[in-house]
Amino acid sequence: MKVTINGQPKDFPGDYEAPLNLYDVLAQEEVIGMMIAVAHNGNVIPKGDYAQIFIEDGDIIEIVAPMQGG
Amino acid sequence: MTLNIGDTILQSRLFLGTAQYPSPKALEQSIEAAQPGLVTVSLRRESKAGKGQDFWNIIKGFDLPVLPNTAGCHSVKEAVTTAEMAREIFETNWIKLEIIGDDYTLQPDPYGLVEATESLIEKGFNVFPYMTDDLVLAQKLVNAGCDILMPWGAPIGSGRGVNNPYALKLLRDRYPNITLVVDAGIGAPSHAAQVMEMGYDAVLLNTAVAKAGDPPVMARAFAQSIEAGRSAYLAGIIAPQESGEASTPLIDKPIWHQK
Repeated sequence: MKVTINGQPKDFPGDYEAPLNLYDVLAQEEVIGMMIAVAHNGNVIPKGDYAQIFIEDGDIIEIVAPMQGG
Repeated sequence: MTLNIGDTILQSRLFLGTAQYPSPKALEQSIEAAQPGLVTVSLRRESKAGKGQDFWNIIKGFDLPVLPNTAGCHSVKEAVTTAEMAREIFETNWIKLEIIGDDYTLQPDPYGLVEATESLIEKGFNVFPYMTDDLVLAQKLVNAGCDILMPWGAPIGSGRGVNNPYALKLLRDRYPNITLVVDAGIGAPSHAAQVMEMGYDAVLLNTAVAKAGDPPVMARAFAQSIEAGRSAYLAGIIAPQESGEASTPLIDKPIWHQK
């Protein structure tokens, strides 16, 4: 299935036996443990809830971190 | 020269931005020199490279309050989502709400600003709205529940100082109990002193320090000017008048000076 992460389309294997959750995606993106915030289809997901969010084809994920700002 | 924002006591009335410094070291030295009351931060997309983490390590070392912004947002939805992500990441309900309405001047969109403010206040945010100096817009934002307003002095990064001192003074006079912060357009420490002398509660600036020849020295200069301006406001500045008035007493003046 196709998932858009920070504007970039990515392919993930769709597996009905073990559906992909947001934590899995973040682990594959190697951002677990970083100071980040994540939005799934426009909804901000609290840190503790990543594993409860199941990913479907066409989902949009945004991962952000602190940055310099004025 | 502390300033209370809700339950938080800020140790300075200088709010310092963290962008555009020539190096991370210059940013660190400038924060050290300015000793600001808070620093502003933003959010950007993160990857496994972890670019944002290095920046955050610098900021968190200072143990200062952070004010996240919604810089670069052009719509209410974008700004509200960014604010929610900022709250999640920085664990604060403070948000500097920026919704740009014009890309040339970076003038904030007043209509979107009011709509987003209403939505964010309903979600429990303490909104610091970056706004123009329009009095009616200020009324709408106060009615929406803001107890802080951040009118611009001039367009972001322009360094022009205060384009319309009359409008800023009017806001101060009409909203004596609202925390007023001039945000954007400041170029020189004298500009910051000017608005503090008008009774503004704080000044938020970034480019004037980050792009200065020597950012840490300029950071210190701004801290001093903001403190001087605040002291002058509290001390009471004399009213200007048209004619001269001798400062030296004339009583018992020696006779040979008279004709």
